[in-house]
Amino acid sequence: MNGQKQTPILEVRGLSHVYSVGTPFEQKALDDVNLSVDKGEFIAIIGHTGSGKSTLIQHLNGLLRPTTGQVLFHGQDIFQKTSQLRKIRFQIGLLFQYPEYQLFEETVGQDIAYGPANMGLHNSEITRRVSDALDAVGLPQSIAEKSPFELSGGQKRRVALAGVLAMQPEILVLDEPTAGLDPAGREEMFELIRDLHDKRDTTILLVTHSMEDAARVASRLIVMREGQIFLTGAPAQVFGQAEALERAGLTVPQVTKILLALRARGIPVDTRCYTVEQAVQKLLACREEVLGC
Amino acid sequence: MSEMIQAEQLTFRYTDFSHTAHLALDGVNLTIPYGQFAAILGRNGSGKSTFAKHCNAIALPSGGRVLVDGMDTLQPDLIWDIRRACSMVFQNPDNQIVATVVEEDVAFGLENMGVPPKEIRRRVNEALHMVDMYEYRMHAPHLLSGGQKQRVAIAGVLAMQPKCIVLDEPTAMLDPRGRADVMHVLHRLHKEKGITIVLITHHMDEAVQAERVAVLDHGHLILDGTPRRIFVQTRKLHSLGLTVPQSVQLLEALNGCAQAGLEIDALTVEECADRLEVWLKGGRA
Amino acid sequence: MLRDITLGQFFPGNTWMHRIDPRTKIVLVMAMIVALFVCSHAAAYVVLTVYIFGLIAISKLSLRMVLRGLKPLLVIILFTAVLNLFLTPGDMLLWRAGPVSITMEGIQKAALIVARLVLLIAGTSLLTYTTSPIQLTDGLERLLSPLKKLHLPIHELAMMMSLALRFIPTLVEETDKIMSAQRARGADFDSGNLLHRAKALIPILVPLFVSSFRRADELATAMECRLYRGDIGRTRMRQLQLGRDDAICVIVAILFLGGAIVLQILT
Repeated sequence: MNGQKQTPILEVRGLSHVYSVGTPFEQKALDDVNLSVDKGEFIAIIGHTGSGKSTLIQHLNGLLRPTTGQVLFHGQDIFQKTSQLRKIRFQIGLLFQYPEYQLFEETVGQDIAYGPANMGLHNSEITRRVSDALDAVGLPQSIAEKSPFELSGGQKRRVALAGVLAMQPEILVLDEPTAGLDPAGREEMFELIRDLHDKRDTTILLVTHSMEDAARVASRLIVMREGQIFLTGAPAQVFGQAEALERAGLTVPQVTKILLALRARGIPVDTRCYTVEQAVQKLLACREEVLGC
Repeated sequence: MSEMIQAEQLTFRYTDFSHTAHLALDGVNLTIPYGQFAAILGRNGSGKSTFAKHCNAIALPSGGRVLVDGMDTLQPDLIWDIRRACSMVFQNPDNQIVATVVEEDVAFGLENMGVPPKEIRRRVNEALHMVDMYEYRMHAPHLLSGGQKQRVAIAGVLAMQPKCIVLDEPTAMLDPRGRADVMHVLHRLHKEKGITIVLITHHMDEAVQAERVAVLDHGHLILDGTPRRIFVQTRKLHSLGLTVPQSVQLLEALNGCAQAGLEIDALTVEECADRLEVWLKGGRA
Repeated sequence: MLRDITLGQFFPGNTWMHRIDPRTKIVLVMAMIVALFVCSHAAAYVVLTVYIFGLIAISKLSLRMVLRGLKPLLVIILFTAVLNLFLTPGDMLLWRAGPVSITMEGIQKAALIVARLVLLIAGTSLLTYTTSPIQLTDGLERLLSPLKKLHLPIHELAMMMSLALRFIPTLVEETDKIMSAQRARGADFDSGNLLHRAKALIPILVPLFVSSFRRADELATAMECRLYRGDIGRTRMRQLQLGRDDAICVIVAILFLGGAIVLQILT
């Protein structure tokens, strides 16, 4: 890191949120969360249901108002001017869980155009963006004329993602984009998100409860528990604390468990790993060490 | 001697939006004996959910037949007996909970069966204990977590004392904790009550825990056997859009790059660690 | 937020009022409504107010909660009150500007309307707050069961009602989610003229309809799987039984409601 620090693209300061204040259902969902996101980062937010991760991301584009605390986009408090909130939402795209259930237009093309149309763009620009978004999610242009309701589940989800991408947001926040997909569908979805990050330079915040998935794609992990940030750091750092993770109701990848089991048997293997490839390297190094001397 | 579920040349035809006919199931022969914990694995659209729907006559064969507890599902007058013998739990827990209080929901099936009130109460309590949801018996279902809702749904069918429970991707919408709780409950029902479990899933880590795995693809039965025999077929499974446990991947990768010569059929953490321990200490090169 | 609406919700609890048979509660609420409309005299209303708020206190419901339930209907209450205030003709003219005037009768009538509506809502919410929807439909079904002999589909209606109640929170949650999702795509539900606002609802209503049909379909299948065949041969886990507490409840109600009506007639 060099000395001068850029303004983070997104910053959360002392954010707390309480639901249903004053009713028997009052519930503190977020408790003093601080977070800063740099341009071009790929962050995964992990936590089990009720850890506050969904509440957190709904603050990032102003869908929820903080009970206390601030959300800064390029250093500007997004809640300062309510009139600006809609504009912020075009720049911080948010894709909800099971987004295929939000499709409503007669054709796929019209549905994707909904966001850009709300932005007040020209028709020609909207058309361009729709076709660009279809490209970005790997769907053929011909699909634009179909009804969203006759597509397969996986296709619908891509259309929903295209609907957010068509707004060309600077930051893309994805809530469990692979929920309910089968392994192949999950793989494709991750490929796609990785491309959005690598090729289109989009800053990405991915919410997931799968450690495996998070570790594979993100460069930084944020683990949430009971409305607070519980652990944060590079994947290797975070997975080094397997016990803490299990306490947060999260499971570490099976390879990590295997290495931890070996370590528990007194074998000096480096357990800071989370993919099969890394585990192979660690095990080869370990074998050399064990047999070498 | 009949089997719990016996599908013979089972074929199911349906037409889609554009009126094209498809075969969701195409000549499937699959027999599940009493008391087995079977997993049916396959990618989306493989026909696994359609198979599940045939197990209690929600869907009826276009060709072939299905016998449930010896009863042919094509016979309309047997339909209620079939559904009593073989219950079903669905993917979305929200859409199968009928009542606004947990215990009322568990009682629903028994009320429909005309069980006397005292007996309903007894079975409801027992079922709720079995799924560890007794403390929540007075709660409103919509305030429960996904995993809890799904366990309520399981209690609801369990109370009806079926011989077999078919679960159609019961964990697809749950988080890891909810999934683990549901799996724990299924194993308990299998072990303690001897209930036949048919688990439809695309999570291989759940299928690993079954006694038997059947893999469907494009309406055909592709693989059928014990998890240990199925999950070493890495390439085959990958081509079917499925994955294998990381333990198998790890051992296979070590064999590939270091000629480790390890047996790759280790499905659990401990098994895999056992083999690695021997190898790391120079057991075999 | 939609989830903050408390009107018509059930609050689980175990107070005396929670344990009263739903049939008793339904009948007494009916009686209360009759009394509220029969009475118009201040003295009678004092008795009714004491009765209703006394019951609220016994049920350990916080007054704030009950008043919060009034919020969605506040506009209607104020509107009718204002209308009555200005448009009631009368002899005791207090103020006049063109066709609009305030009379003593107007003030009385407006006050009566406000009191009537507030007590009506507070009293009925006492029923919904302390009676689970399933008990409520159960109670209704049993009260109306004599009508089954006339081949009226009482069981089906009760089942539909209880399913509707079961799915209201689910659909409210879903509406919330869809609204948020469309807001994230720049939807604006709060500005523009009426037509514009109505149009802005389409992106919410279409997905909501689609998903409701899907839910209904799945629910119907799930119910069939659990051997639901309508009313045929059905038993119930919870047997309704009238007890001593119900008798006390009825006696108290007769004292207060009857007292109010007597006061009304005498004065």
